[in-house]
Amino acid sequence: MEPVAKRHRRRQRHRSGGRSTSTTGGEDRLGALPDVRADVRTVMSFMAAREVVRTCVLSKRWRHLWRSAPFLNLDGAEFMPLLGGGSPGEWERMDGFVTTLLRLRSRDETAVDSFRLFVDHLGAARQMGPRRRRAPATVLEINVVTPSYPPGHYDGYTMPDLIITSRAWRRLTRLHLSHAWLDGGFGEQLGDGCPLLEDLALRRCAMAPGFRRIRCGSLRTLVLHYTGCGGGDAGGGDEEEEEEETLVISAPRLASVRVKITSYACRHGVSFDGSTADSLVEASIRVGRRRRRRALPTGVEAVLLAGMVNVTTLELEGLAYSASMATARKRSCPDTISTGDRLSALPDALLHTILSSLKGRQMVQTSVLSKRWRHLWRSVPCLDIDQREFAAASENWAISRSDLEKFEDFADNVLAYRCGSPAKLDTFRLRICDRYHSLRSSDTDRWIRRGLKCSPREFHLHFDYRYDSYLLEMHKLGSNSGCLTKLHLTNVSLHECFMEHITTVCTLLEVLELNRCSLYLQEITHPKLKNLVLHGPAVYDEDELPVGANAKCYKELIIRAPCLTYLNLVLPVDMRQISLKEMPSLVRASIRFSVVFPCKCNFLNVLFNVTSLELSGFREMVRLEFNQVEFHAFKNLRTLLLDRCRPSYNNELLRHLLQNSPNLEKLTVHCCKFSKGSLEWRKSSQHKNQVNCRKLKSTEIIYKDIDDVRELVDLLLDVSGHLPKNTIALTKI
Amino acid sequence: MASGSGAAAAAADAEEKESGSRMITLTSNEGKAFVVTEASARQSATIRSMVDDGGCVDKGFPLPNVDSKTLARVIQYSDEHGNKEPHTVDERAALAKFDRDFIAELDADKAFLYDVTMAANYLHIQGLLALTTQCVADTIKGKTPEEIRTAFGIEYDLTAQDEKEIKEEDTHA
Repeated sequence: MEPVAKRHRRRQRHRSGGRSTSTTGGEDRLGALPDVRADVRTVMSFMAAREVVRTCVLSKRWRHLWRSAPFLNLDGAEFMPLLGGGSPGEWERMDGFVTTLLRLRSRDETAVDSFRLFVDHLGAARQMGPRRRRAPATVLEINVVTPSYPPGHYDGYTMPDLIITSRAWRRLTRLHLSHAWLDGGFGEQLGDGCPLLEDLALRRCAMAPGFRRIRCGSLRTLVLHYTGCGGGDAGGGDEEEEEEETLVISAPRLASVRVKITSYACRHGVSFDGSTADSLVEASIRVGRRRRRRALPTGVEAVLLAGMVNVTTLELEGLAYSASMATARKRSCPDTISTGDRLSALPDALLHTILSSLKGRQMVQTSVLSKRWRHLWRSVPCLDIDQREFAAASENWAISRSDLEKFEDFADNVLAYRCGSPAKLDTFRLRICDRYHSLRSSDTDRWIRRGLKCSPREFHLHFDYRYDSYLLEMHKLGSNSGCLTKLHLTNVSLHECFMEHITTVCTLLEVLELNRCSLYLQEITHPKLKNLVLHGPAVYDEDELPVGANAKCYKELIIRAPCLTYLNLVLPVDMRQISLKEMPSLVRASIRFSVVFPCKCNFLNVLFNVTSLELSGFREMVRLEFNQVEFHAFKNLRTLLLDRCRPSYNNELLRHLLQNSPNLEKLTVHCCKFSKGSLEWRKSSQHKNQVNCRKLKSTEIIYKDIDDVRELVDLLLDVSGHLPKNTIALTKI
Repeated sequence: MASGSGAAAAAADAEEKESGSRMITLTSNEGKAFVVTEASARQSATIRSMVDDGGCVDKGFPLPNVDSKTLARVIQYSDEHGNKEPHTVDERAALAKFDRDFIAELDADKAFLYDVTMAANYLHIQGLLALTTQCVADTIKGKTPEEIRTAFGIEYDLTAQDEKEIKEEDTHA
């Protein structure tokens, strides 16, 4: 120890010099620490064994301090350069140091809590391990530094059999091994040999062929890095090819696991047995594939993940998403979700869709369901304010004062909150069912204005006023109405300025639906409009004539929409003649005539491009004025539906359609009544010869009484020469 | 001239027919393959766009978010809606009846209803999504909050503070 002492004095001088520069007065502050043992111990725990021993020469105070240090860090680097293969002298010195140290320590009453060993592979091979038996520790770390081996060699520290050294292992709570060779029975014995073991880390360890299971009842955390059968990361060709089983981890208290495996080092995978699954809360799995040609066998990842039912933190890296893994995850999911409420577990977007079909009051009420639902309604893209929710169900919709007030409050509140929400409002619906006009129209105006302030794309406004309609004025729509693409109005009065607003401000408008609206305008014109639905009163009632409307000024309603593709008319509208103009792109049209009242329309001239036409309720009162305008052939017409039509004597409509629809493919006649003589023209051979429906494939006649359609069937048979492909189906309902 | 254009039209017809009768394979997350007509598959906007983008129709489409049971049910819907286009009033009525029966059956098994809803959302089948969400909404309709909680097993977790706030701000609720 002579040279050691010399070197140490030098070091001490150096240290005290250093200390005087950093502390005032050169006092021994360190030695004066209040609870010397505890604090110095902490300091010593970071020092290697040789350094610790050297502190005995510092002063009397330090003389025996090192003997009670609970940490023992044996570092081969203190004696020789690691991996360099120390000289015999250096080996001897280290040998002697360790022997003396351990002899002295074993006499001491203070137990060694932690024993750390850092040596290279040669040091390990010189059986440094068995000597630590004299100092049973709670923490054992054996870190063996290895050079990269040529393939075919594995030269690590061989862990002794646990049973033999059972006493030394009893107290162990933490065991970290790197580059150790583990016997086949090591994993099995852990449970019995180390009953207190909580922390096990195996880094680049090699397992003997029989190593199949790690069983430890007390284990809390487990680290497996590049550990597996057949050699560590650096291992070579001496692995047992016939070994086919996975490494099973059986640790019922395991809470955290970190696994890094390569397809090579752990080629049959790692799995947990049933007892492990429940306690595991944290897991990190990394599968390294680089440098390795062999992929993990199918299912390895799946087996790993199958055990992780309760994890809260999961890190995965390098896993292949395989079908089997998905199944494993699927299997684990229902346990966690099925017990809870699946509705609340749906994503926000879907709940928004669900809430979109609820009326306003009901939707807002969901805010009291639970925390999840608390603010959900504020971002629902659809707001439907409907007074019917606040009207006691009664025949005449008479609404009590208190219900009116409630509704007013509701509409004000809900709009205020909805406008305050940043989420986009897509659809705004407002329905006032108050038949006797008890609500102030200034209230209604305010709600419309507020709703439109959220720039919805779709706006529905519905009034159930009994005697008059709501007058929609332009300033009520506001400038935000420029976003509107769909506008549905029911029982609303519209003036010329409305149309002006629609054409100049609502330039994006594509769908316009007007139900029972009083149209104080001469034209409906829009450059971009694609769909137009215009429904007159379903049943004509003198009372519903617009009050003060000078109907004579508005004899004709002109509709002009160059982009229109779909038209749905229920006639008559306001007792007026409808003129359709400039609709070159119209492809679908559905026109229904009121059953009772006559109406005049000259529309066939705009329908020459349609592919699908539905005519309903067409009766003798309807006068078609073909001759007024130039008549076009229906060159694109493919499907034609005649519904509840009752053509009058020698009706011209069907003749025109059959003579001018060369591409008609399907003709459906639903509940029509062709009285005797209504298709008289079929007897004229000139008219018959002009029938031109060579492509007609199917004619479907649905009737209640065969006499109603006898005339039609006769006609079709008469002209069958001109309908070569036609099949006729008759269905009685 | 007339016959020439007729032949061209016939060829176009044949082509249309061929593309209409193409079969498409959909694979559930369990790896089970379902073969459906293209018309049926096109009910899904997701698949439609993949097909239109010239996607791998031959290889089929894996659907990692949909399990076999759910996919089978979704296909039942899209077959009905995709393969026949309703023309007459009766056909429309029949389709409406199918929808009613379809949703009534789903309504009995709420957990499965949510699975189908999620699948419809993922596949962008608007009709089916509207049908399922409407079904859930109908269950909510006309119920008090307490009844809704019971119906769906929603846990009441609002604090007294929350309740107070709700009372103050939403007098209408």
